[in-house]
Amino acid sequence: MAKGLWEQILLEKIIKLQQQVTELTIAQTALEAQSQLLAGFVEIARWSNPGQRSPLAQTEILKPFLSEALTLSTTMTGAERGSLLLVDQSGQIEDAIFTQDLKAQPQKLFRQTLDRGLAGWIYTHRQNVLIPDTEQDERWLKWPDNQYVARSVLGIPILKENILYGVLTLLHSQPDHFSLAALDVMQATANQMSLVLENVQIYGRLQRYSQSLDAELEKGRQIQINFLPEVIPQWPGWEIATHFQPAYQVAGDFYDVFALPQGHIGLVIADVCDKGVGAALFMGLFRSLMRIFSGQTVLAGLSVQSLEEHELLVEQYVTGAIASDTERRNQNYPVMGLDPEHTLALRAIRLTNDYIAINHGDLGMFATLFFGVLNPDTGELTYVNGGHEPLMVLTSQGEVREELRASGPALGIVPKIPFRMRRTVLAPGEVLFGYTDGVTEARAADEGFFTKTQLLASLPPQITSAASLLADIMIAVRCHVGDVQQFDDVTMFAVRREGGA
Amino acid sequence: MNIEIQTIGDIQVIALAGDVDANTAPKVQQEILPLALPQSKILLNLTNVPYMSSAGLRMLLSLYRQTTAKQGQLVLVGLGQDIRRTMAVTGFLNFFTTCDSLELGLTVFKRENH
Repeated sequence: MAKGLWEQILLEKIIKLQQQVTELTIAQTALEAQSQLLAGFVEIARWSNPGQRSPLAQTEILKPFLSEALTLSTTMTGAERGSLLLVDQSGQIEDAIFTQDLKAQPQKLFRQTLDRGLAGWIYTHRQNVLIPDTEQDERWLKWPDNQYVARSVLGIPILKENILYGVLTLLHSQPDHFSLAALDVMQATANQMSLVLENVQIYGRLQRYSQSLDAELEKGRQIQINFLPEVIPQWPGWEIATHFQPAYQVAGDFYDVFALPQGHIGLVIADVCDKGVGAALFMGLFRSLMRIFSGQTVLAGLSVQSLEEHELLVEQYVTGAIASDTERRNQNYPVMGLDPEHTLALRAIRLTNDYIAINHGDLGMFATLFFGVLNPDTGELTYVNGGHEPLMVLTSQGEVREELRASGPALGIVPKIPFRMRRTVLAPGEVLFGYTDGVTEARAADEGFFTKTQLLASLPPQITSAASLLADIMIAVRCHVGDVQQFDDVTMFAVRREGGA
Repeated sequence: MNIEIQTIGDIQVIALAGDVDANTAPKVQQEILPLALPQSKILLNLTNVPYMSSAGLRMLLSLYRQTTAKQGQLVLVGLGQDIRRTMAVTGFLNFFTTCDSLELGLTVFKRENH
């Protein structure tokens, strides 16, 4: 074989190898760039996970990411310069990123509609553009004061489902710089960027929506707090303490303490079924109905019933089991052994039950509700417990002397059903303690409930004040729950008769 | 929450599995309330329901109202101790027909039929 021919073959092989190396290098650069881009994308996706970072952190990371994506795009294609215009849905330029600092130029762009030059063409046609030589293409708009003259241009729309998020433009001063392969690579890159930008827009919308919802809930919470007595009324010889802590911003739990005619005290603790806004609305309804029907509003000159109506209603109430109409008529008025003032007020239970069951039965809303009427002079307490967790009468030694168990079903289930009235007397030193199931069902991280057993165990050996009793119980509940987000509404009240051992 | 609905004779047997709480109750209600048609016989199997919150009771109350309004029958079976206790305190037990097992529950309908 001639030496010249051999050399020629070798030379060809070398050239071929060089080409392969070049191609591989480009492929590797592209791959590295793509994986860097992907890493940024994953980062953004992770950061947009609500609760992990603030929305501010996300916009902070978005701009560097886009800037990096632009730099990578110029690296991959060997472009000298590049720009990324971000547009909003009406086509106005929202932001612009450049590979080099162009202080003079960007300001002119902002708040302009993308209707001119190459970007304008891309905005209108939603297609990518490869200009081998700008001097041969009228779509290229020359800036008169621009020193840099671009001859090759690559323009890619960042598009997803026909929504244009931006336009990526890459420039080179030599004509015929960008290949069709570069166009393909950039199209793939732009697709990835569109995913990120879409994600950011969706997240932004979600964020705004969520903020407005939060604001509405906060308003609801303020109104609901207003439904609770602002200051717990106090009577000489008695101490009344309450605790209210809604699990959600609005709650279905409530307590109420109010003065009734003839100086008696109305005590309510209740738990409206379910959670959230629906429960909160019904809380307001239950609370108001109880106040109106119990005669509390007589004080403020707002009585809605005449005395005759009162008497008619009272006759419907009996102690003990369900009474027939005849038995009811034969029943002495007032109900034997019960304070007539108290039975008058307690009719609120039946009226409220009927009102809810008849008018709102379709919603299936109900409330467990305890209503007690206390005579502060004698300690006599007449009550109806409508399906609520038993209240406890505690001695000053922290022992349960009596449980005030349910004397009828929860309110709102079925209309026209009887509720039994019961009576007890609070001796000096004794405490009436009421709570909602948020206390006994407070869950620890291992899902275990606080339970009534633990509640009883947390009662202090000496009860010297109603407020400290509730504080002791709350410490025990918080200890049990640990770091877990509060599970249910926690509502309690304690009414202590002063004196005693 | 898993909801399985099957028909045994003319009885719709609905088996729930999982806690019925504020999160799951709306889904349960959405699936089973449409089954309360005129004269329908519905058996709700709660054997695999460890916990039911007041939202679950609300769902039961809606189902009870629907079946009662449409002259249907509703039977609950397999109430766990905690659910039974909650239903006792709130007075719900008085309004519902309950049975310990599925087999017994199915016979309740038959007895009421003949």
